[in-house]
Amino acid sequence: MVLLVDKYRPKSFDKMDIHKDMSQQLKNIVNTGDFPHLLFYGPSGAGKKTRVMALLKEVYGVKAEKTKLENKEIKVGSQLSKSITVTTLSSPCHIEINPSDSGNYDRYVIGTLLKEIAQSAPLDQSAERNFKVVIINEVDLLSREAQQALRRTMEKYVKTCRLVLMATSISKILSPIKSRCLCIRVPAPTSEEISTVLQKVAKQEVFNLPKAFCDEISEKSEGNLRRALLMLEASKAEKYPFTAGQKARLPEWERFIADIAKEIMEDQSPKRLLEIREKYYQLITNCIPPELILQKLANYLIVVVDYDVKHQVSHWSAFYEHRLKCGSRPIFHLEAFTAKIMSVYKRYVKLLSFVNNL
Amino acid sequence: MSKRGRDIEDNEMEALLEMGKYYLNSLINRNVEQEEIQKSSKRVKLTQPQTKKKDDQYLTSPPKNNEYITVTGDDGDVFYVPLSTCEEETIEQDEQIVGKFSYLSTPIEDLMDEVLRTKHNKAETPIPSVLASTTQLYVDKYTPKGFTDLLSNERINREVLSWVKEWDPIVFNKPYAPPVKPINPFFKKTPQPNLTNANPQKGPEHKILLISGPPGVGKTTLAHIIAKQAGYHPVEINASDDRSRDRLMTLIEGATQMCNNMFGDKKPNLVILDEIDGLENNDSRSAITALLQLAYPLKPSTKKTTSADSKSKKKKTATVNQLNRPIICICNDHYAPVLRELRYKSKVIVFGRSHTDDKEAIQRMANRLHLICNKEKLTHVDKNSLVQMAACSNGDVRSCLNAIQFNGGDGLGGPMDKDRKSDYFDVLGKVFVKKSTNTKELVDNHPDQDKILLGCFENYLDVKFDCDRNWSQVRKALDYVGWMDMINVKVRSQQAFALMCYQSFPIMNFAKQCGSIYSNNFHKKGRLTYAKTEMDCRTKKSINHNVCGAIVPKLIQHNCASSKIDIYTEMIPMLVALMQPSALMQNQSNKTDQLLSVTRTPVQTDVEKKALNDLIEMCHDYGITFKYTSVMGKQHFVMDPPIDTLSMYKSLNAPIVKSNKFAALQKEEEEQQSPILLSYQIKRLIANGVDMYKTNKINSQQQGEQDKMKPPTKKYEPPTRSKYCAAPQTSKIQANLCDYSVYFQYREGNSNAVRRLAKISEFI
Repeated sequence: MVLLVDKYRPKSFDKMDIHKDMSQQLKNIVNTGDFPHLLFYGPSGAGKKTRVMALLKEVYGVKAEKTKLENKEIKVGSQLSKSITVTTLSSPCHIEINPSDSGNYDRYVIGTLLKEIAQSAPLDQSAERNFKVVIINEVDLLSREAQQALRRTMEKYVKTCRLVLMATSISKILSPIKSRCLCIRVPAPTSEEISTVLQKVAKQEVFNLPKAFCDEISEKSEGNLRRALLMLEASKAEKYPFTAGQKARLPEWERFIADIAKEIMEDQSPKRLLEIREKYYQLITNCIPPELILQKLANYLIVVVDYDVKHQVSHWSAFYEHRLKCGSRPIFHLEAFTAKIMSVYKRYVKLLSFVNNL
Repeated sequence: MSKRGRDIEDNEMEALLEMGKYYLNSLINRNVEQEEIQKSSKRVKLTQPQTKKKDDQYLTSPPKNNEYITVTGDDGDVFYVPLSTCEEETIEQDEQIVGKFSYLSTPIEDLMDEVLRTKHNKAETPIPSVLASTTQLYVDKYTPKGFTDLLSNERINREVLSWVKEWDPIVFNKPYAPPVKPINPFFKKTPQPNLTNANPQKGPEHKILLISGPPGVGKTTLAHIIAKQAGYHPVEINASDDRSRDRLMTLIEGATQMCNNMFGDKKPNLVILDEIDGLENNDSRSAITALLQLAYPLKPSTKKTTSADSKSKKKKTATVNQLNRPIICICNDHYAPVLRELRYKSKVIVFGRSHTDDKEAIQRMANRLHLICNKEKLTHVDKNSLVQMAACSNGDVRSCLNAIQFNGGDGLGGPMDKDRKSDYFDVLGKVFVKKSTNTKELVDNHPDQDKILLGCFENYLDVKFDCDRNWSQVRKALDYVGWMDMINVKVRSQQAFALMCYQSFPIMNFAKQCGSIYSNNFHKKGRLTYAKTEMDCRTKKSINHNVCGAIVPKLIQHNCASSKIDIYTEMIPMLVALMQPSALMQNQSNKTDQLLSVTRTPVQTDVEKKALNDLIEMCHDYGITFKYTSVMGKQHFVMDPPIDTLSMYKSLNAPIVKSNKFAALQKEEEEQQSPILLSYQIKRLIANGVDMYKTNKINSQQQGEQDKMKPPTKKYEPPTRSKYCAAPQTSKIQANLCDYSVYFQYREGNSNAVRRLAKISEFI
């Protein structure tokens, strides 16, 4: 049994439920016989990858689906003395790499791996497509050097390979790269779209999905279809048949952050701050990105605090997120944010009681 | 007594008779135990009083302080002659009377030589200021010139000296020949009967002496002085020399076998290997082994490497199987790994940091410093400050002297303090005490201010706040911390090291904001902790990261998520959530019952069976399984790869029931293991199911490809009902065994097998 997410992922453009006009456009591009370098960007869970895979299938046929994992050794370092292992997913006609996993060595991965692929022309000359496709994930996380390395390669080997870049945001991508690509934005689906997809899945899986619960999930999914489907499945495993008023099953870490928000509201004291620090450590240990922790926490806080404090919460969360991104020790900034909110809130409560006494 | 010795004495007696009859008896009665050099010197000393004819030197009662000789006169009167009161004068006197004693059997020049040497060794003037010149370092100028000058512990000095003396039978085996005569190594084989010393000729038990101690306490000086005292010529080999194995061995061999007879200095050599722990690690092993080989040549078979073998053979031909000169090694840390072998095979003498706790030693040092100050006319130096200085330098005489010289006696203690590293806890203690003095200096002196900052951050919330203003304090403190973090990133990413000068600012800000009067003695109460949480967090994170790495390929293959973040935040938590479907959780309530009543299958209803099958399929598809391991004596099924730890948060999963302490503990322990609340049996069923599923798949389809990518599955297959282990893996033996409902796989060579009592019911 594969997850619902994987089971109901559309394999071709025709089966897509959302962004239908984009599917049509992509199809048209492919039908012209050739396509430029592509840059897909948009929030996670919007369907970038799905579209790329569908595109590959459109171009190469079923051949593109026979993928296999491969570990490649790449020599890195200034004297090419060290070697790292890179995991790639490849089919006869494409290869998918994730250079940002290699951290600071990403430019070596780009340099060597891409060259190696691009320099070898496909054996089958008679095939209608005489180029390979290289999918590069998380381009926005690449270092500047790696992006520079990408720049020249894109022009040089345009005959033998096409790059498909994936990113959540293009703000961190160099403009020369952007200008060499056809940028395609894949927006997040609306909650109605998500609801329809969920209902469709429920119908095919033959289980009953009440409208209210469906809406609850699509609302909590934050426009992330993958998340919505995962939540649906997890909720179903947790409690089925669904009852009225059932809450969508959130990931553990989100519930944990919700707890933190509650704790901040309950008591504002250094002792509480110390307890919360412990929780932040747990979250960071479990590989939750600190930026995300801050954002989620701010979201939860904004919901519960009074109207007058809301703007302060958002202001300070932005302030500390900026600091967090500039710094290297997230715990400092998370704690600073918490302390700030605690002090702001305490002052507000004091003021409130003062005004009420008047 | 040797014949020759008696000769000398007879001759001398004649001379003495001329001068006065009193001393005849005394000389004959003298108990001669010491070696020749010293004996002759004493004799000269003895001659002196008689020439001076000082009546007051012949005491009628034994002197209290000095050594003395009992003298019986012709008329039966008993006198006591004090000894060794006046070496210095002796020489001058002797020089005057040289002519008169021309009828001594030994040429007076020789005697003089010896006297001079003894005098040199035994020089009494503690601070020979003869060579004083303004440009000289005090350290060199006032270096001890003799045994009695040494500042180090008497006991240690004696110990070293006696060890060196133990060599005498080997080195000076011809007692009456001038000790200067080069000793042929071959001589050792047929040693002459020793006259002065009853010891057998084999010498000391340990051939090498290892002196260790902190810098500046006078190890090297001690070695040199002892060598001179015992009549050797010290040959120092220190870190400034080339000390590769070959070079070192040539030097040592040269020094031990040959005699330094240039410039008429005809003493045997004593090798001092200074800073031996500074030998480089890679070749030091061989250098040290070579040294040991030299010292203890009887066991050449212990050598292992071929190069060392050839080396030792070479040495055998070169040296005659015995080390015949003392070797003193000096190091700062005798526990250095390089010295391990040497430590066992040599006599170790350790200079403790006795000076810090030994009041007497400090006083002695301070006295010496005071004396030096007086000599240098630094009269304004206060004795008390010298005592303090001696104490705070941890007995480092060298640094004290340097400090005195370069300060001209002013502001003592200043330069010494600068050198010291401040302790982490000291600094933190200071920071958290309100208005404590010189916090800034302490902070500045600490080498790792980043660590201090982390320590502040870790501890500041434990400090009692002066109640009212607390939030603004915390905020301000944290503000600086965050700012520093950004600066640190700048420093590292752009090499803007100039910015590092701001490093102490946030720490000082902590001191300002969080310093509290309440936190006095905070440090002593042991409430400050070491800043390790951040580091722990990092290491754990990287472990978790690697755990994820095991499952990521599967997810990538399914095209689930392209970015790591999505995997961490969405896929893994949800997978873990899916691992505990409610259908299988229902008979969770009586958990302990289940462990015992194994006969009852937990999966009975159709719903449960379906849920289980779905779960098994899912586990298989995503490469998850349960591994049978024993943790702390308890058997568990642990998720493999253990992605469940990634979704584990304390205080969220299952609140701890505090009814029973033991139960609570147990529960906590379980929680530590896994947040997955499936029962033991279900985990077992899943583990077997996944295996079975996999083998079925291999058999039925030829889809090897997909399974190749599977992470290595469990090694040990616990026996279960035949339903779930019907198809074992590919091996034939197992296939045969398959007919039986119970089989047990024995793995040879698995040493960590757990032996425990097993009930037959567990196998059914």
